[in-house]
Amino acid sequence: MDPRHEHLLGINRRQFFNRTCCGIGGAALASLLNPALLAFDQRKGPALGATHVAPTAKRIIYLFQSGAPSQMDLFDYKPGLADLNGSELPDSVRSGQRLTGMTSGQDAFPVAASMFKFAQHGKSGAWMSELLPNTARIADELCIVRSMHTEAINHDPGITFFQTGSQQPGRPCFGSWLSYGLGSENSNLPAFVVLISQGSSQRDSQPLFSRLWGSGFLPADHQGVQFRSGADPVLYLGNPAGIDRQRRRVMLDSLAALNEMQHAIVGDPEIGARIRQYEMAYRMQTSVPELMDVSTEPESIFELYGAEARIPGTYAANCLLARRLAERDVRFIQIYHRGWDQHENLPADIRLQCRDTDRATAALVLDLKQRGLLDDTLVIWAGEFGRTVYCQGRLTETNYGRDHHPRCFSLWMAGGGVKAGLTYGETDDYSYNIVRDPVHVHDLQATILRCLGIDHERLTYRHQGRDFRLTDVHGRVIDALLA
Amino acid sequence: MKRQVVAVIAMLATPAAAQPVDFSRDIRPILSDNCYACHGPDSNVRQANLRLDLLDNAFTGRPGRTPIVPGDPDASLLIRRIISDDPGYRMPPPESKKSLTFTEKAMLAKWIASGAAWEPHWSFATPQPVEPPETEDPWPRNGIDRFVLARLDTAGLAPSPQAEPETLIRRVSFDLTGLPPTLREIDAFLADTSETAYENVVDRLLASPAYGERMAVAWLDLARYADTNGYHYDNERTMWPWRDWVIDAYNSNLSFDRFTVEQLAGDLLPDPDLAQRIATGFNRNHGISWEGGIIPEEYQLEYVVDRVATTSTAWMGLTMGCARCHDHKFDPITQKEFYSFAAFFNTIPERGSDGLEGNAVPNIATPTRDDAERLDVLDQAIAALQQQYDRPDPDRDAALARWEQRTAADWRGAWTVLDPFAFKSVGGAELVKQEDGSLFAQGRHPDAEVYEIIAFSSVPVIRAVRVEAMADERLPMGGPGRASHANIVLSEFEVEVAPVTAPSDMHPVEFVAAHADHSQLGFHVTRAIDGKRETGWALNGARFGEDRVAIFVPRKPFGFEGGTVLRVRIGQDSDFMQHAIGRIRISVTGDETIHAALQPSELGAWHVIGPFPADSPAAARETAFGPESGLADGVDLDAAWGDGGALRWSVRPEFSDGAVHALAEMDNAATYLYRVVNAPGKRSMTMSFGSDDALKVWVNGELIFETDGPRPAAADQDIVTAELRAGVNDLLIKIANYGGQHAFYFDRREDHALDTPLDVLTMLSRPAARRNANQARELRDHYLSRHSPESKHVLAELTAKRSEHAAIMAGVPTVMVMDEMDEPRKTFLLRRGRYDQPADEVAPGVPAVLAGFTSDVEPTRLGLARWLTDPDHPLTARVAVNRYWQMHFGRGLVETPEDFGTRGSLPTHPRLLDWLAREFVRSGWDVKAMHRLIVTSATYRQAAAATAAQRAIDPDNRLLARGPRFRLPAEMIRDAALRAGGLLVEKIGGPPVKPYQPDGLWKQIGSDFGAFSANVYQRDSGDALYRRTMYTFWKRTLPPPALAIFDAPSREFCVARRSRTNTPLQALVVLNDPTYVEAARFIAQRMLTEAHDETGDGADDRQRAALGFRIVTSRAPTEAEVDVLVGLYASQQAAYSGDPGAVRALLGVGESAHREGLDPTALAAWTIVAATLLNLDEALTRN
Repeated sequence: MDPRHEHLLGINRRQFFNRTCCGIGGAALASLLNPALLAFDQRKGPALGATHVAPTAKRIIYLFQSGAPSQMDLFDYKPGLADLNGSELPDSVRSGQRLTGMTSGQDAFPVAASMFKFAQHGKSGAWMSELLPNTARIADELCIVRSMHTEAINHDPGITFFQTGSQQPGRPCFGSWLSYGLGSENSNLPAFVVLISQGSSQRDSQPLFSRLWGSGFLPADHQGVQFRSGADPVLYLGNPAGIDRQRRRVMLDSLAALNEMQHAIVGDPEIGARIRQYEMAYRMQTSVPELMDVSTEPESIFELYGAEARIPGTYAANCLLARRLAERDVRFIQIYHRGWDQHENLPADIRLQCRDTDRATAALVLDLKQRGLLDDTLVIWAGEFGRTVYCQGRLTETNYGRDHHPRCFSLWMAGGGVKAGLTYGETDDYSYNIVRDPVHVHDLQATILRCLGIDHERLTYRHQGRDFRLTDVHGRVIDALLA
Repeated sequence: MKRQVVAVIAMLATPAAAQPVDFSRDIRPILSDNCYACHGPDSNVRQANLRLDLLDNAFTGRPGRTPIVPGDPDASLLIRRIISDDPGYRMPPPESKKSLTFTEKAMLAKWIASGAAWEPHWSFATPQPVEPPETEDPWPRNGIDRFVLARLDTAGLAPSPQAEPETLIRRVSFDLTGLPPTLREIDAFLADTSETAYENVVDRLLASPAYGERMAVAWLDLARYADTNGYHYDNERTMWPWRDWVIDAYNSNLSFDRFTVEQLAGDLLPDPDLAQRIATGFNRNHGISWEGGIIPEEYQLEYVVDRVATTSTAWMGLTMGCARCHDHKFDPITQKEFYSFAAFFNTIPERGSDGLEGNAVPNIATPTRDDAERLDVLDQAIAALQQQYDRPDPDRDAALARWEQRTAADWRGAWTVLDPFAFKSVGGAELVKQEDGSLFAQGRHPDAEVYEIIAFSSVPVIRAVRVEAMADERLPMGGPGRASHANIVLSEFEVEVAPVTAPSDMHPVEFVAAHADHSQLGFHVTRAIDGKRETGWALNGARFGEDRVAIFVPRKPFGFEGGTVLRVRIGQDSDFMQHAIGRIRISVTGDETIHAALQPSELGAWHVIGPFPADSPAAARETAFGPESGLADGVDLDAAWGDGGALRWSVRPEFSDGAVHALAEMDNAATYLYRVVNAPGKRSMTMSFGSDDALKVWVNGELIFETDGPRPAAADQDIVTAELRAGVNDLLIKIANYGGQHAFYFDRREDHALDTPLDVLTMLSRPAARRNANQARELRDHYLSRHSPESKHVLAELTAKRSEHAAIMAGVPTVMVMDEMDEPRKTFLLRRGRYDQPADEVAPGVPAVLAGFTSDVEPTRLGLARWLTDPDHPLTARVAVNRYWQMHFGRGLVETPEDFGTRGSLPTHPRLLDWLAREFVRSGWDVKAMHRLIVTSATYRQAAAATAAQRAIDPDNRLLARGPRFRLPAEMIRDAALRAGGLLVEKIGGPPVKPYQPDGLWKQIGSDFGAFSANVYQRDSGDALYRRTMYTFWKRTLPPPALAIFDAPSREFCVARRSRTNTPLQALVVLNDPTYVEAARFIAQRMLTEAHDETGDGADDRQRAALGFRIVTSRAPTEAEVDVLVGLYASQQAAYSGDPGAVRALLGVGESAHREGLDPTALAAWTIVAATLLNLDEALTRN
């Protein structure tokens, strides 16, 4: 048994044996002591009995930068733009590209060069802007893709496409597919956990939707479980006022006893399953707060992640929680950080967003690495699309804005079987069109699934007569990204 | 070749091939799963011109290469290809990632060997009349049972005995009304010894109003009903009048064909009534996006596609949506047929981007009958008054003309138009001087602009400066702006002056007030003199193509003897690009009367007191706290209130105008703000307010405005006009906070004492011949309301009637409906399903595979609805009765109610399904009769307990040898707890409610733009907490979490079947959601007050426990069960007796007070018992 499991179970055993009351139902006892019964929903095994190929990652930490960060201010270095600053974007570059309704009425499309300095980092020599000093330090861990492209040009369809493979609501999200396909490896926590933080650049913060961690047409037990800061980290986790843990234990014992009696008469296995779910809920009442309590982390950890990691609900705190969730073998850890939608005042706002995220992001990768977890954890940093090289609003010496741009954008991955120190793909001099090695969103999804040992064409679910998959009918694994 | 023959023989000898082969059951699924993708209905990808869905061309072929030779598997190419060892030759090919099992290959071979009998897909043919099998067995009660029994016989199973009466009444009560039976209902049933006792219960339930609510929930899942628009900002809509129509339709037992016709085409019926138009809301329940920047055509297409998918799923169990981008892969529906079907739904006057302010177009008002009558009366009165008002009167019209001339002349005479002698556009536009002294901008159209104008004035003392932004036909929309939408931003207005004798000795003029005839919300003209380039004066909300005017008042009159040189700078330097004024004119005045009238009032500093705590949002709003006492005598700034006078007034000079200021946060509390307004003369002052949350405004002790929350504070939420007296006025406001942030916003808008409003003066400045009709009417209204006593009276009446009309209409919800465009939109086949890839135009039509049973289909939605409800339609009745069956058995006869196509499940009892479908049509589509038929069957009434043998032979109970047992749907779990506690408020319909929900959920994912609704979850109180769950506010991007955890769908798309999971999160909901803890307390109260012994006297603990058990599960407990409960009670009684704090805390959960006069410790301990009961598997399950 994994020692981390043993530890958790040990706590439960002690609590169990220290109880002062008696009368626990037999099934409850069995589920507490029999690890085989401990899966989050152990009745149905995962859809895939075994992975299709040997996995290089067991779990995913998905750092989603909601709102779409600007690629040419962070990763996609375009030194030639400095000379072109303010000049009209040539029609030959734009070539009839669809624009959003926000700038399609603009009479002019002046090029806005990034005002941030770029430098090469690490042995790999990856280019990064001064906005990401900490990410720059882990450059050699990263597999940077500068040639991502997508089909959507607005947030709702864009982010829905990225997470579910379809621009329209209705499909399961990435984490739900994995919960369905691979099941859970943790007995006390859900397979799929969601953490949300609000960026410091409050302006134009775009909404999120629970469909982004929803199970679509998959059974609802595959939906993501949001962990929140505050008294109830999981909805309804805390006992009501006036009911303490001991009283809850007594209640559950009586409940199990009564349910057992019903089970003896009706013989429905659902009853046994329900008894186990109640015991699991009881365990979550300690396992989740224990997980969320970072006070036992050493000072060095806060030095690594930054002081904000002490403030619940921040991106830094969520990164630290992501590591703790990864340690506990949660399959899919989805972080959303809002506030990247910089149509205007980009220089000021992107600084705020980077200050929120850069240090903790790098810390997470380093921390996973020093614990040996990076080898089988795939970390992904991405937004839903890119931003335009041309300025939205007024271009001044100190200010510019950028509209949505689906034709190219940058992201990176690290750990779990992707090639470290790689910069993949190339865009034109305007960071407007891809000139080499395009990676479509479906390709990315297929590649990520491959890291988990899954053939994206064979993880399917029949709904309305069709065998649906995350990659719809598209996607190809980009072998060049794999280690 | 030889090896292959051997292989086929070997396969035919296997046990798999021993059973007779049934094409639909055994063969079509193999072909459909493995072959149709390349050899199916989709003509675009079809390989080798071979179709295996329609086998006509599979039987014929080239010599030796015929795919299927009936009776001869060896000669069939299909068999050779599937058994080949050569991966390059074998079917299906490796790249398909599909492969056949040995058994599947054997089945195919056997099928061909036995003649390759082929039959069309069962559901595309009209169900044929069928008689239930004959039987001697006494068990059957109706036709259903004879079908079921016959099937059980073949499997060697026997039906189970009838369920216990308590189980039965609980089961049928949930199934027909969504609620458990009350104890009285159970007792009445147990006491009814008549033959028809059970049927009596069924009839009572079918007649109960709760029946309509229960049935509606399943329909709402299909119709993807919700209370928000679904995409992106996801703000509120009002579709609940449609939802109430559905409940009413079920309760009045509207036949299913009418139910169909009215929802699909109620608007197209001859002379449709309001209800029939509301019914068409079915097809408007889809999500609607108002995300900035979307392409409307793209989303308009999505709405049409959604209507096709939803309509085809709900009525036909067809997955037509799959044919959007290409021919359907598995069912015979071509892409062209998809768009033909879409054409029925593509001609409504909708917008792709809509829903910012709730309901998108088209929508209709849905007044109640009383309101409608009142509106009718008002309409008539308004028409009569209008006629009276419009009656020609030469004398009066002459007087009007004289007044116009005189007033215009006076106003014109008071102003001197400056004649610019030097001017330039910093942005590079060309300014051309016009005859009237104005400047017209043309040429370059820069993002930012400053006009610099230098002019000479001989007016000795200048007391105000006027800027006219003038209409001009050369400008977009007639101006006054140069932007395509004609709006302007005047971000800064600056003037410097110098004596003409020393023109370079320029000094800036300080302005203290600004007035305009119109200012856009958030862009009041005072923003043009606030020194900030990013704020300014703008015009949205006004009519364009008309002159607009702004007047700026200097702190001190200015001017020099001998003449003054003015340098005027008109800046358009905001972030809004290209918003410069197109034609501009500057004037000055020395008129003292005008100057006096334009002097603004002096506003004192704000004083603040609070927060005053209250128990609820309503109490915070309505309680008259200290500052509201003695209002007539003014506000006493020395007074103190609160505990020991802790609350005192403090002065807050930092609370500047035109900004949101935070107040001390406290939930359910109120804060007061006070300031002095010193008016130079009697006048009206218009103010702008924002508040978090509710707001009240008093001026001189009189309440002049109030509004309810909740909302985040923002500029210009309420515009309030106060009548001021000369001198000191008291302005007092109250902000009630419901929860979280607490804040207010104030700004002054209009504050002058001109006799004639500025907009009237501006209209008068324009020659009569060049005024538009609106201007002429407004001038006339203004004049008559002031100068003609008779017309003034009529106008006042008209205004009163119109505002009454508007007030009623404001409270009348609208509902989105179907309606036809005057000029129908054309529908095209769209390549790859993309909005911008039209191919051939298509006409409305239905899929050919289904078209055969009836003659022409009229090319309208009404024609479609009539086609669907044709008695011989193969799908409509089957799909409907299958869903009804699913409600009562937890699984349909076809397990996939959403898919009756070739990939859907086959019916477990095909003949029963067809018999039910024909019965349904024969009964006149009588929905209640169909439910009655199902729930009165012996099959339905069986006990649910499974024997080991039953479980072994039929673990999923597909053959129905026992009663159905499954977990209750989300809504029923909560409703049952509320009813058990006696808390359920049984009111039908109306706006949605917001019961308990964990704090902050909406806020965490919502947009922080204040303008969108449904961003803040403001929990309701009182009855709204205890309404049936179907009325809970449904926000699509974050559905009610406690319901989502129990498998309720998001309502973003059509759902015909919910999943039924069993998770720890569900345990947490019932254990810890205050809803259930509060319900448990009420059940405990019932245990303490309603339990009695046999003599009707007081009860002991065993009787209390038994009562609670029965309230929750509908049955009496066993002795062993009572033992557990009493033991639990005893332990909790002991534990709580030493812990009064815990008792108080537990009894304090939930908003309702607990009943007085009960022992709190006992109540707490029994609450624990009741909470345990609510968590029983039996409580969550329908047995």
